Amino acid sequence: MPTPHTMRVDAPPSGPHLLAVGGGKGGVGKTLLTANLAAALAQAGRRVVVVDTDLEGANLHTVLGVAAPRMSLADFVAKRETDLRRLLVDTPIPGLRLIAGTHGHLGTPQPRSFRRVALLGELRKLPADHVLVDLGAGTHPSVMDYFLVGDDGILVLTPEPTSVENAYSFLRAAFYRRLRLAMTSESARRLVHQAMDQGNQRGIRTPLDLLREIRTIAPEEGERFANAVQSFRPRIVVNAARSAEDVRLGFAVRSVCKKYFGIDADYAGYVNHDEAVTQAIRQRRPVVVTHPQSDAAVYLVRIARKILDASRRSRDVRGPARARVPVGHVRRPIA
Amino acid sequence: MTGMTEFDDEDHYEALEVSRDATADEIERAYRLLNATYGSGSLATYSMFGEEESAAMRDRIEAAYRVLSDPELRRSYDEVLAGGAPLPAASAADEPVVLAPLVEAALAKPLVETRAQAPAFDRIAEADEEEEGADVEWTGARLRRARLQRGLEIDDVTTATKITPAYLRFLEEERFDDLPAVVYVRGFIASYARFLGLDAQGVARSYAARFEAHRRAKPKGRLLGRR
Repeated sequence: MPTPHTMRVDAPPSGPHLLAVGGGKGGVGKTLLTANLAAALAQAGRRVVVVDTDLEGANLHTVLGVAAPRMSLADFVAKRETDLRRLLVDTPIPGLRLIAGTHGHLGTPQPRSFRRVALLGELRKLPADHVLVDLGAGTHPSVMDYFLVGDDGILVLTPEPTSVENAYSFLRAAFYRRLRLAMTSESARRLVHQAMDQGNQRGIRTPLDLLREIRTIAPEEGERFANAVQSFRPRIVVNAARSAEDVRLGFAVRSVCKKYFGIDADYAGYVNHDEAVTQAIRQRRPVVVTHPQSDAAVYLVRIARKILDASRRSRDVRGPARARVPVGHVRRPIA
Repeated sequence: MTGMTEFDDEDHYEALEVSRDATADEIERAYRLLNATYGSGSLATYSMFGEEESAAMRDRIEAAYRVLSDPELRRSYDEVLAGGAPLPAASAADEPVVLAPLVEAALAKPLVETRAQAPAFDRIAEADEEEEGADVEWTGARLRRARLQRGLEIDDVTTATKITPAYLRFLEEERFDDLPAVVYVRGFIASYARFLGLDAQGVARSYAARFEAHRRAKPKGRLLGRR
């Protein structure tokens, strides 16, 4: 059975840079971040597609100022449409197109695993430099897989206990799912699966306990384990920061990633709590477009620039894909 | 060595999450950050680590800091690392191996109480050309961003510069009418900018120009100016 993991290996090197934006909890600003990063990248002259995978609570189209499109990702999931490209709709922002998540089937809103694999493959074929995927809340495999097959994943959190807790649940789920996909033997996979149950009988409490157990049953799997951990580099974004302490939360979470999971997360940046964001939502436009001079917009553009640099670096590793915009930095968005 | 080392196997640099060539400043900063991160009730850790684990982390961080913050201890420690000796465990529980004397010496040494002076700059990125470059216009908002980027609260600035929190807010919010004469404003901005590690004169000049433009645009003499 094809798994998302093998998908990644088979993925053509020339496809768009795939960035997933998740965070576990609803309302922390995933959609907002997706829309604004996409808009900033488009303003920098990149071809960008945003995909709303939250079929139950789709509103990415709204923050981009697009009326609910007739066709959406739900049509692909329901197999009414086989070509994702036909679901693309324009947005008011030049260079930025959208695949909406509207009109999902209420009973089975998320694609089942086979359809999901097809979808993940199709995302790689979209005619764009960047594909940004806005994830729904929760840690269901259907959410996780976008995060795991992407070239880059952003974990959004706000400085609140509920958000931080859910961000860790999200990380934990992503971490174990990634490990499970990396293990080749059934026994190692079983161990990972057992470890996912926090109250397991084997006494596996932390990733390190798990690594020890896996090393005892199969040293070569231990090696794969370490590689899977090392290549997992989520990016942290703190949204709605109000103080320097909130800003520091990103560093703290990064430290926990290292000390608990052994992963090298990147603190990509923070977005401060800004009235301009609220105003922009009311105007149904990204704040980088409506209030380019606001603090929030400046921070968002800064994160976008970081993503852009990272995508160029990974592209360089993966080989040249096509003629690119000359290297420079993101132009300040113009209202 | 794989990317996954258990935290009790970590060397002091790994424990503080700094590189081997970290400056004294970076070590100081990392130490404060981690101390806050693993302090009791910390938002970032309470759901991941129990109180005992957090305490063990703090001990580990403390031990690393005591060695790395002392130039002499750090030098001998670096020699041990360079010698390729097996990395000693330095957590309080299982210390004994190679480093025990070093760690003991470090623990015996009282902590220097000068920490409050050095500002802890937690920079997300290196100086940003577009944001803090030579020819940007220094607005109040830009100053606030520069402050936040360094992880500083208004109170930290007050402590260092003696400018009252109210004035600092007025400066950041550009409430020009609530600020004193330009000569004071220029002085405030210069010391604020210096504290942030910015070009004090350049920032003060840029900000004062905005301030004066605003004052010029307003009619002078309140009685006559107001209807």
